[in-house]
Amino acid sequence: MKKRGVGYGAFFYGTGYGNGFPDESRAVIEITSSGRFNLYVGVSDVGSGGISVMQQIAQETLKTDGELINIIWNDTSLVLDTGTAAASRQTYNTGNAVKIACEKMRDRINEVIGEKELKTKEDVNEIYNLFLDKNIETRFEGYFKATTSQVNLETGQGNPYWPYTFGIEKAVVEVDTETGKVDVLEIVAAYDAGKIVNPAQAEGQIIGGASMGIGYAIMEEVIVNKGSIKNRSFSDYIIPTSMDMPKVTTYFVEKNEPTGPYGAKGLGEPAMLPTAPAILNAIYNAVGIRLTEFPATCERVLAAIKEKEQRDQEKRDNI
Amino acid sequence: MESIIFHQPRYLGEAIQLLHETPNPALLAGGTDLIIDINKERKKVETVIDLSRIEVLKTITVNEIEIEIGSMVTFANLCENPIIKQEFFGLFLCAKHFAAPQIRNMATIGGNIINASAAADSVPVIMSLEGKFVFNSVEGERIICAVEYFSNYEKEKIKPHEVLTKIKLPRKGYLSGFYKLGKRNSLAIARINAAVSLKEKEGVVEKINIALGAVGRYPFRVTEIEKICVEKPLSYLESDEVLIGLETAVYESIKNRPTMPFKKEAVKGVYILALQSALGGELNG
Repeated sequence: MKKRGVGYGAFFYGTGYGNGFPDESRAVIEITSSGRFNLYVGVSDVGSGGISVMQQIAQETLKTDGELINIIWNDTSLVLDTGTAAASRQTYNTGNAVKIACEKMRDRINEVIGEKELKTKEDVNEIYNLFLDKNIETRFEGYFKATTSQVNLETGQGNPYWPYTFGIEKAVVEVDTETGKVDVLEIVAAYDAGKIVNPAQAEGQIIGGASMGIGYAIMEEVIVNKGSIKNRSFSDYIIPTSMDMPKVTTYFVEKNEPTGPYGAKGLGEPAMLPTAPAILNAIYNAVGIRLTEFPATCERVLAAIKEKEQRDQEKRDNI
Repeated sequence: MESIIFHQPRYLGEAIQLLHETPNPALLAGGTDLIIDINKERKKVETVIDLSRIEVLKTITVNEIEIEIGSMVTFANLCENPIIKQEFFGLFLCAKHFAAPQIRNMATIGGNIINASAAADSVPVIMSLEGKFVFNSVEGERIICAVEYFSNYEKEKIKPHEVLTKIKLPRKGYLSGFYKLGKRNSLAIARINAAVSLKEKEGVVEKINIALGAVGRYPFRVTEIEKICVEKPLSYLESDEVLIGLETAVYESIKNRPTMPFKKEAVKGVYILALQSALGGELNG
């Protein structure tokens, strides 16, 4: 028999290195004779979308078109240190550094032409020439350091992380009580990651996180034998396929984070946090079993169902 | 890697002659297992005979009494054939859920059979449909039913000079179904699979064939259980007698395996889903 259940998983997650570790980012913006800006930033991007985010923040701050900004990233002979693309920190930390650099540039632009937008290469070139005439710097550096402090181990006080991202997911599952198979039918996700800089990317991050969470919850398992991993390739380390993915609906609660660039916070790691707990809760809701070990494979689910049936039977017999 | 002698015959006769003359040739069908084994150096191969250019092996022909499926017919071809979908629904379901699209385009039904995996998806279906294998060699033709081939595998298995040319399925008008339990919904090796073919008249079972896979060295039919179902109402097929019979059959087959406690329970659910797909068309997933 197939039984359906609904479960929720909620989290809050501190982004950045945390606990007082120096969490620094740097960026440089430059105006050039070619009628474009160069943004030097050390954001590494393996599909996370960091580069687009930096370009968007620069574009907004400089009041110009994205096409007029070249991004130079990750060439260590050209860029300053922005720290790692880790800890869900790039949008918040490096985004702030980019914004600070671009604000310095825009302040000088405002001095020479006022609040006017820069729509074309000619507009930018004009500024460049004015900067040369007026002997203004053409290159500005931005630096940002997150406010985090070590926790006092005596009092438990301090700011170990800054800022926090919040979220909740709902999972609907179907459990086959005769085979132990779990299918995830629906995921609904609601996140507060501050202002969402790039909505399409953010939605993709949540869906990708959900797929990792589904793998974590029901199929992914490292099998170790005498210290050696047995399933070392994707032919035997199983991850979800499109046939295992349900529709994922995403909602963003864009609560302004006053210290973030345009109110933004990190979303990288948080995207996979609530999925697996939501699925295990949904399994409990469907068939009344509490699994305390991942993944919820057919074996584990079926064994737990049989165990519960036996327990229930014993209870009835005792009455 | 050492060099491999590669033959690509155009005609079946040519292939059979090559098989006769070549010591220890490897037959290349879809290559979804052989090529991986060669690349990973799990198998040492001196001569490969590629069957992919032999048109006659890639055809599906139908006559009054049976359908003949060439051994080089791919799982994608099986999905697309209207007669297979209409009359051999279990085989259609098996093909549709086989691996992933790229593999369905390459992998052949013959390769799936000859590889003789415990978890081969097509074998239980062919067994339940009373299918037969046709082997050819210079000595002529050898026809053997699928159940006999695997129950007596060491004696009956393909000989070094033979080639599997056809799979024959009788057109008996069975309602047939298939279900595979894998670790995920596609591109998964079966943990357990089950195929059911049956004939009923006014709600009474006239004949039923049940084959199970991945619960023993080779797939097998559970003939004892099949017998007790005959002349019973359809509802009997989901009765405790049948389910306990399946549990016992799996227990007996894999007593000493660590997966036994799980598989003897799960086989019941897998069988019921296969049965329901035979009686009621396709299920979700």
